Amino acid sequence: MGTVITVTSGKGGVGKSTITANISVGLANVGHRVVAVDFDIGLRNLDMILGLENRIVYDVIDVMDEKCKLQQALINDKFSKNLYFLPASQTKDKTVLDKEKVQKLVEELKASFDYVIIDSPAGIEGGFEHAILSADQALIVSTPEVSSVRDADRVIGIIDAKSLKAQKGEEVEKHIIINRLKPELVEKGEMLAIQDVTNILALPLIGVVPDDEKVVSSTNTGEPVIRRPESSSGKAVKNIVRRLLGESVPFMDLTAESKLTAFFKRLFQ
Amino acid sequence: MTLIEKLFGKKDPQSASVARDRLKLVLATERTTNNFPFMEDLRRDMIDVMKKYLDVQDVSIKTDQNQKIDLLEVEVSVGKDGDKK
Repeated sequence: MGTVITVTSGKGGVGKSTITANISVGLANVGHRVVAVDFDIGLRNLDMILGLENRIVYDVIDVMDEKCKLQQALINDKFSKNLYFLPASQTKDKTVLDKEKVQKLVEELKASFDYVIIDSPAGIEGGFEHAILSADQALIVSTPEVSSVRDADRVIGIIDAKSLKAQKGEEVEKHIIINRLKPELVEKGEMLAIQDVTNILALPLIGVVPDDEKVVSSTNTGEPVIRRPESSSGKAVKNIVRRLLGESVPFMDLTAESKLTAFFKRLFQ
Repeated sequence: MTLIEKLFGKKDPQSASVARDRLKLVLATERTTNNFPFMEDLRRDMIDVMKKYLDVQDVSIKTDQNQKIDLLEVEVSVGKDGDKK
């Protein structure tokens, strides 16, 4: 049986889909059978980040409504034979989902994949509840900004209330991912530091992804940044994947440029 | 910025520490309402029960968190005869 990992955040626009895509590619690259599922019904996005938007025929709602077989809706990745993608519906109302159907689908996916990575919609309403329902693990993505950390805190507080695992007396394993960290701002004291965020959210950290222009160009071309191992963000997500697999990987040194360089930069501003 | 300020790096008040403090404050209050969503009902029920025995004016419940213990402080204001109309 596969493991279900839900990527969530509360606040929108913090990089949930990007993280989902990258982790899915990363896990598939090391040989696991992975399916990435977009649960953001009505606002499909994971397809573009994975570069698979032109291959969609059926979506997740079609499968749940039994309009097609699961195999018909699953899209194989361009590069990795281990990676499949199940798109969100673009047209249908998100209220069509119900818990039994969601649970049945995830069980079916768990039977044929090692990892089911679910991209949760923003918010704490129905869509989020469906995305977290069958989760074994939750990755909470937050940027080092007050609104994002606040919403992350809110989401963490309700994950267990909404998950089947917690109803059975077990706990959903939760980890923090800090996204878009700008080391030079942290250094200046103008951005919350890693420690600040983890202290406030009181959960273990599984990765820090620095703010990186490469992520933007990767999304532009539809090739997740993890495929560019030379980039700092690519390295960071690769480390997250290794930690998910139980490896103990030291955190990257994300301190900004040396004091001396900063001094000269300031001088010649 | 003057040259002196440039040389020594003028210290502005750091916004990250402000963010930290604001977050801690707002989350402290939000977490208690998350933990006790029934607070208002509880307060009303307490007033109803105590009214059987006392001339209750008001009940206020304060929450406090101490390490892993949630603390509820209940303050009951009882009316004096003279205040009664």
